[in-house]
Amino acid sequence: MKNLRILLVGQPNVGKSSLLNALVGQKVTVSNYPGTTVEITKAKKKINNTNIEFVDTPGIYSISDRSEEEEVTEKALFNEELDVAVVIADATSLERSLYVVLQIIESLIPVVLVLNFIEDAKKKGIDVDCEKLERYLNVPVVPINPLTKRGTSQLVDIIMKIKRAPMQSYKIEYDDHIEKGINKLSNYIKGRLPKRFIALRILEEDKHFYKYLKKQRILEDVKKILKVHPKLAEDIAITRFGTASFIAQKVTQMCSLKKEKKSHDGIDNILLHKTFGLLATGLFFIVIFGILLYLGNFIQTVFMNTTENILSSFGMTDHSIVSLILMSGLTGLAAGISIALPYVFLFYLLLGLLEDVGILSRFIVNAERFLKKIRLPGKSFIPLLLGLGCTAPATRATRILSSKKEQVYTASLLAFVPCSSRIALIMGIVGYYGGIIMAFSVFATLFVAGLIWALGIAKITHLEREPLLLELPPYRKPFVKNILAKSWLRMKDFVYIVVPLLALGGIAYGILEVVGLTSIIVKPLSPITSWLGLPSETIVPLVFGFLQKDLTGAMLITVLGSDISAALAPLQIYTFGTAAAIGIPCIISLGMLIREFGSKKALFITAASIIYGILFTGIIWRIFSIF
Amino acid sequence: MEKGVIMTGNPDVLRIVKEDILRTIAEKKGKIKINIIKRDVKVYFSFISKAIEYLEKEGFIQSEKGVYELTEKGVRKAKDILRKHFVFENYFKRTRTKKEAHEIAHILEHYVSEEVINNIQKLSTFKGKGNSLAKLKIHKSGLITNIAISDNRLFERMASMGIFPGEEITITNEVPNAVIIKIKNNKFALDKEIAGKVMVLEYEKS
Repeated sequence: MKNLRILLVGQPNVGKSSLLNALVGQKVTVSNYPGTTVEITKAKKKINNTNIEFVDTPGIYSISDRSEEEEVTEKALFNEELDVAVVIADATSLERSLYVVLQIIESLIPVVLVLNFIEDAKKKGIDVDCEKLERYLNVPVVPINPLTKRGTSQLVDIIMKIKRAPMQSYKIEYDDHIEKGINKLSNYIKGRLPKRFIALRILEEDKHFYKYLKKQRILEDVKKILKVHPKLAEDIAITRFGTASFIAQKVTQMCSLKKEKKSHDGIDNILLHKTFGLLATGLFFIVIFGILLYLGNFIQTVFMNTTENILSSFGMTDHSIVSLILMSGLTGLAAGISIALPYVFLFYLLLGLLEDVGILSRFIVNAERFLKKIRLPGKSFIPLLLGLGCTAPATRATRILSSKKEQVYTASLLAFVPCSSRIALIMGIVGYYGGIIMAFSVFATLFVAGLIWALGIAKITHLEREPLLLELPPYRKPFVKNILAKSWLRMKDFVYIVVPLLALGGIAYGILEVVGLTSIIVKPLSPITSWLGLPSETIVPLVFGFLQKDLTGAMLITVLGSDISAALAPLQIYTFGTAAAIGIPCIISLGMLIREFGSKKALFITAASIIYGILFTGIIWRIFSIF
Repeated sequence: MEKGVIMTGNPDVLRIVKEDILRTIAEKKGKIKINIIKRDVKVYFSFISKAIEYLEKEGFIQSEKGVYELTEKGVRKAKDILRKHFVFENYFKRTRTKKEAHEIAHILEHYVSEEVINNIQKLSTFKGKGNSLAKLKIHKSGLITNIAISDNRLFERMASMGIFPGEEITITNEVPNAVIIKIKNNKFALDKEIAGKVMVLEYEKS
């Protein structure tokens, strides 16, 4: 039995995931904006006694150290064993695809070049000569179309035959000085990776590769040789790009350019208009929110009834401790499934649609206008948006940001982005008992609190602003299968991690209830409730809501009785809703924060956001009660 | 062989002169009189008239009463020449002496045909390095002449995305925080801050 490990590499949107889909036929995610795959997707296939493992990597334009997603791909390329890197190139803009191809060839990893979008290119009058390209680069070139599966079997054949040994492929020759520098540096490089490649990365000032230097001092000596190149890294990049563009020119033939039939510039004239763009972005989200609340509510009712029926069919009539605890666990699970699941899934479905059509990247551009005011890069829009679904996967999505600082900052903002459970709480408790205006005041309060928090952080920390540089993919017709697959991928975290923990949270609450601990916290924590102007029993749902947010409403009814409007004044309902929704919401998101940033930072963010939230809510309550 | 020396009998000479003429006409917004060509393309006149004859025959230029004009085909060809020119111009700008310029041409000779290098070394007449992209008006096009960004990573990222000196660039939309540009068939949102550092030589889109 033979094992092969194949890496799929290419720029964002070039069709890596679609190719994986075509090769393996499993559900994998495909997206239409940069930065969807933060982690590596793997898929296995067995062909004639060979186990082939395909590894899909986050999109990269080049090998450099810009962001964590690129790091993931770099690690996959250089830190792990692999047999072939299948590099996917875009036939409509071959030269920039060739850039990363040349870099990987420089690293002596066996490469198979795959050309996608050939039909699109032909429509645009671009004809790529694959055989000529193959001769230039001396690597196999396969034209493919993941949708019709054209070329996939040929690709598999080539992969099966390829030798592990480094190939004599195209070699970029830099000018004499740089070549001299490479040679000198090569003598001081350790490790199994090709010395020429490492030397180049070091000369390009890629700090990740400095660790391969035996003697750091040598770099200064080499830089002396290279005095003629005051901008050495730039010169290397220029040469590489020049080579890519030269090869692309040689193998590409421009036919008579017919006018493109469909131009989507019209849509961009609205979506990227200085005022209409913002309006469109805002409007879209209001509509999405509306659909979410309306449809989500509907599905929720259906789910609720079903789970209630199932629960009652267990028919646990005895009031033994075990069955009480078990029951609360099941209630927790049921609440999670019936309240959060429909919202989260629907939301990710809509988001996936926006992504695949290509609209989302335009929204990022519009959102960046505000995000840059709080010193966040445009990309942070994605985790913030995901936060409207579930805070835990959104915390994980902060990985697409370049620096740890930005990641922590964005994750802390998720404390003020209401997730599905919090939305359900606000609509279900505040909206139901206090009216829709009260519910929207809670959303507004969260927004204002988040804004002040963000402005504060932007003021005290020195975040280097990352300028906007984003590719806007062409509008494409969405494929239902892809969107479903992607929504599922995002849901997976939620289903496998969040939902079971919801049951655990329910059980934990059940135990505390049985042991009678819940009432113990009422007295010591009464300063908090009195600061918020709430009856002291409300601390129970506020505190235990952290174990299971979806049970907050149910707990409130337990401690106050079902007639909440009688127990709480409208303003109190508002304060309760705000206090319950503000801050890092639950133990699951805390867990995710610990996983991403370590327990120290995670606990700090959680505590700080909750304390700030309580203080803020109390102040707002005091302001409101004057009137 | 010493580069940059045009020798008679070299089959490439005619081609170089032809490309020079196309470039000269392109620089003068597509229309030019013969005496201007004579002034700017510094080779024997017999070469020029020969080259013009070929260019007309091949359909790159057309003439009317001594005024030469690029045809559609000629415009495409001229753009290609300008594009190559800028790639190298970018190099030569940084190096001061002729000798150093010559050294750096060594890099290029590996992947660019000799006649292009000859051509480039002969070109010293090109005027202007263009304006900042931030000043380019919406729907206007130009060629990127230089990207003056000190952050290597950002530069490499841009290069690998295809935003590079020599590329033809069009502004399709403008939002307060960014310009939306089109290079080849790809669209990008480029921060105003970056746009300020990208130099572009504007030309009328044909």
